[in-house]
Amino acid sequence: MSQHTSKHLSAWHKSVLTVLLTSLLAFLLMPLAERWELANIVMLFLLFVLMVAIQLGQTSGVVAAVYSVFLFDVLFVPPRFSLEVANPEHLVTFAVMLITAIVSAQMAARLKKSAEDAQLREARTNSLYQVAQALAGTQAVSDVANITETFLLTQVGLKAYVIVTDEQVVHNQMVGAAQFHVETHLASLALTSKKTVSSSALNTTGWGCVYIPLLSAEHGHGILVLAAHEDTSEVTPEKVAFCEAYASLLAITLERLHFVEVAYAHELSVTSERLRSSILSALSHDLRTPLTVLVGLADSLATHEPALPADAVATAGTIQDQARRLSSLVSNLLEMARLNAGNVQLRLDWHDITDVVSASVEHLGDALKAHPVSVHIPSNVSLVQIDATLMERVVTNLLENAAKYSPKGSSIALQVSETSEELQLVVRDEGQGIDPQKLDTMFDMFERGTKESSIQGFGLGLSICKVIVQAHGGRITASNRDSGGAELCVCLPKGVPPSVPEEIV
Amino acid sequence: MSAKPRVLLVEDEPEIRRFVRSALEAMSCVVTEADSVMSAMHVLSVNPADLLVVDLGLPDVDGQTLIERVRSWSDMPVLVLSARAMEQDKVDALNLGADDYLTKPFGIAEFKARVQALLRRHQRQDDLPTSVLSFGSVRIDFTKREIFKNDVPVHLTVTEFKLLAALVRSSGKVMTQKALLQDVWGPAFKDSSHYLRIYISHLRQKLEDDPSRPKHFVTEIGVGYRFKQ
Repeated sequence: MSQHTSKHLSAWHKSVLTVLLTSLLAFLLMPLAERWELANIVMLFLLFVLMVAIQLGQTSGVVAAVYSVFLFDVLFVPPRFSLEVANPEHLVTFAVMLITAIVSAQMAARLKKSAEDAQLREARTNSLYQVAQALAGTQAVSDVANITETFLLTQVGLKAYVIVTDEQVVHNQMVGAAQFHVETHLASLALTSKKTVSSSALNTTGWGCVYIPLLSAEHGHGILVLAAHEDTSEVTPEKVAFCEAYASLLAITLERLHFVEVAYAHELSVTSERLRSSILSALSHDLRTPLTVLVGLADSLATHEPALPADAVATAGTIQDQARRLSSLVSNLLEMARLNAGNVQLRLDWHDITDVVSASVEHLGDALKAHPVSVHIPSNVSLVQIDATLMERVVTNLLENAAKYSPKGSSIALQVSETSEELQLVVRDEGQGIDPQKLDTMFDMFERGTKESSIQGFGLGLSICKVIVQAHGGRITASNRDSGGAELCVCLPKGVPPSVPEEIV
Repeated sequence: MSAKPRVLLVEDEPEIRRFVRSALEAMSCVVTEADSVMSAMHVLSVNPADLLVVDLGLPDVDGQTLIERVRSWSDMPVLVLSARAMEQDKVDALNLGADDYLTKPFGIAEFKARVQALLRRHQRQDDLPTSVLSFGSVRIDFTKREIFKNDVPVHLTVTEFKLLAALVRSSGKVMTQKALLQDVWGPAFKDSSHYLRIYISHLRQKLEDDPSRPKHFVTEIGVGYRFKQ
């Protein structure tokens, strides 16, 4: 109780109380004046000063010491009831009494203060421990903000507000509304400088005046803003230090929540990726099965024994051609769906472009039978780092396009050349060329060289080429040749292929 | 081995089974059908086969499991049927021990050629390997290690010759790049695909008539290489 009383009394009140108490003591000791030794009375006064210092603090102790010496002189030292001192020895007594009283008052007060501080520190450590437990159980940032507000209000009597940031940028990702004004640029400054920023000019209620960055090992997760409360408190360095200790707990909690979120997002993307790929492969299987049956059965008709009439065989051949064409369209559609899904996963490896080109020509087979194809690839062409399956689709689509848009019998030329920087693959046809107005848009989805023509295709082919080539860091361009016909050029960055030691024997 | 080769066809789509069966029967094979891995295992336990034709997308367990199980006790040739979208599945199946693959949709002539190559090679395995081989304008004498193109001697380096021999040993059959690298360069090189690219290119330059459009050292994109005689 006394502690509370002493805290709430002002210094003036304490001094008055001290004077009254000292007077009371002197009055009580008066009857003993003639009977006791003066030394014993001095002892009682000293004990009293010590107790006053402990209970009422240093100032009261000093007041008690001085006033005690005065009363002792007047009331006890002969001649009594005057300031005069008969025996000069007593002056030494006064001096010793005064010094002893003041020193012991100071020490007692200091001891009490440090005991009080230790108690306060223990209480705060305890409270930090408890709040850490509370924070450990939180699942959402809003809970963290609520705990913070309540905790700092009860512990240090300050209003608190948590700003959660993302990638070092202070967004308006505020949790709830602040009960005071927040200076966004001070918050940003705290986060970028990684130091507490305080502004004494804002140390009035209604303004956030201390901005503590919430830092973890990797990066900042937010800012803790403090503001003075209307009546109970002001912001002191001691409170800020306590809030900084709390801020480190807060940072750990926010980091934990951040990683929970990251893990969840990752899981979600893995799941959706798996779902997408299983849908695509189921779709691929379901679409391809009837096509396989069509091609196979049409083929059995064509090779039927005994042989069917010639026009029946021709019909079977047409069915097969169309089914194969449909199959190629399905491949393009599925490929586009896969590529459009966003994250194109390239299976990069070092390849000889000859492999890709020869596989494409082989793959197209009959589709190129109406067009003589000439292929020119330098014999010592550099290896390029590509996803061969996807790049084969590019070359296949380019050749297929060239065949589709040029008259039967006209030739198609495929030429590979290289500079120090890139590898160029050019496909030239002898068709009618490309409408100059279409040159820019022809790589966009569903653009076709000739609108509403009898030539089949969705216009998917070239847009797939563009997506694949761009995913490889290359580019694809189209132009018309002076001598007629279109020219499509794929440029791929070369990179540095790993060396293969030369063999001598 | 009986006069008529016995083929087990594992495919869940009845219509595909129908035309594949008729193609096999036209080659005078005896065909048994199964529509799942479980039933295929059951059939194999009572009825041995000379060739296994298996679809990778089966309803119960995937075809790769079947290949793995069959390879644990038999070296019968295995032909895989697969959809084009799944390059990695094909490579996995081949690395597990499948001998060849066909991409859906496929023509009957293509299918017959693959089946014939597999059956023929399997029958021939016990015979001594042929010491002289001719293809196109090339003639190779393996015992003397001599190679002629248009009757002009061609020099191959040691590694080039090893690669040629590895491809020719599996003539007609696709070899995955991993298998080739392991065969020719050793297990430590199984990921050094650039070695393979360079040496295949050397073989084409030295032995193909038109190295840009190879007829004998054929690329199976995303999978490996195939030697065609």
